[in-house]
Amino acid sequence: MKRLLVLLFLVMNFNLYSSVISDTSLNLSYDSLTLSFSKDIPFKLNLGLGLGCHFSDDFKFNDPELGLFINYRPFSLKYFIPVAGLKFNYIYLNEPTFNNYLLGINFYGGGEFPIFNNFGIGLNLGYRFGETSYLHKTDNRYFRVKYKETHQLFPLYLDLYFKYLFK
Amino acid sequence: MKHLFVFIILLFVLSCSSHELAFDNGSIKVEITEGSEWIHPYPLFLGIKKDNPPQFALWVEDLDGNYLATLLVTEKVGLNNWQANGGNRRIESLPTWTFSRNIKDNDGTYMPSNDNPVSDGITTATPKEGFTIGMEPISGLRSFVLNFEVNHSIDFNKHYPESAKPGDKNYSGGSDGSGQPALLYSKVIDLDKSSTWELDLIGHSSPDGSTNEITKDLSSITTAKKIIESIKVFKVEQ
Repeated sequence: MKRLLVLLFLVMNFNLYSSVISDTSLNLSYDSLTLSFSKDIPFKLNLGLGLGCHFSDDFKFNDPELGLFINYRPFSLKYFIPVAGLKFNYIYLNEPTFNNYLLGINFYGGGEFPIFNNFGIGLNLGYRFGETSYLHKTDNRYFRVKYKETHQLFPLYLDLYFKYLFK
Repeated sequence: MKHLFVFIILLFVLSCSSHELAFDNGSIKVEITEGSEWIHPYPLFLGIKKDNPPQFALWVEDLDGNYLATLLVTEKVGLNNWQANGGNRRIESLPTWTFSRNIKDNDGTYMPSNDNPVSDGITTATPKEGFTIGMEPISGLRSFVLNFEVNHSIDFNKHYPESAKPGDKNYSGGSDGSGQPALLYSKVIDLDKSSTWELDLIGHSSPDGSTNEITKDLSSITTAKKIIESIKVFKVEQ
């Protein structure tokens, strides 16, 4: 029953991103905060569920995020546990003029650094696929205007997380 | 726990359908098709270039030329979200739109600023290719003028060189400016007389953005004519 439930908390996602397709700069940006739970399953795999809050580029609104992830930990060293994973995440765009969501597929790899018996810090470098698109709706005095906006997020991101292990 | 994960997986599978633009009966569909110059190389550093799409605005005026509303504008212009522009307000980017909108900023220009941006709802990241906009009339407006202004940064040619100085007739904002001036497409839309239209290229805007003058002679415009392939408008009838 050891490692029955692992609580990963405060997964801070730093996006190395180009915020819109026409931007030139790469930014290291604090992007989302997630509370995740996971459970060890056979074959050195670990299955988890994350609930979080994704922030827009300009921090004007918050978007709830739901993530499902599976980690593979091939072996454990005393001070380092390598991790490779796959994550699906769903972000609902909570803004009046948008009507859409982001559905992401992410691959990541990194590792965890145990600090105490049941506490550690993790760092993953991730790569995500696909574009995201929003359906805008907005009214002026004469027309309701609708258009689809596609964002190409920069594929690389960095996750920093703190882990607590229930034994 | 097992049931929870099954539920989550089902949620992902069921949510894979995408929201698409839907056009109700009586709405207006605007199809903007990109031309071969829609993407323009923009030098970054060490010879590295990026693909740069153009800035544009789509707005409506009444038949007397009075500004009614902006439908869409790129966010660099609408939110003053320029990068690496060295503080240049880029008044030459879309001058016909800014003068038509006629909202003066604190610095005396008609450009939206960080303090007075346009609404988030009508700004867009510049698309990499053509796109479609839906317009649903909500006020009974049956005839209007639809305008589209488009412009590339540093789109210099021999008529609008980077070396032109302020005060020169062909000055277009200097090394961070436009080069070839913004082009204006326009059409009178009368919903009671037709159901399809195509916007006409009617001229170019002021090269330095200092006036709202529209020049019909396009002989000095070269590659900028190929930014847009066509702008077609359809009244949706089901």
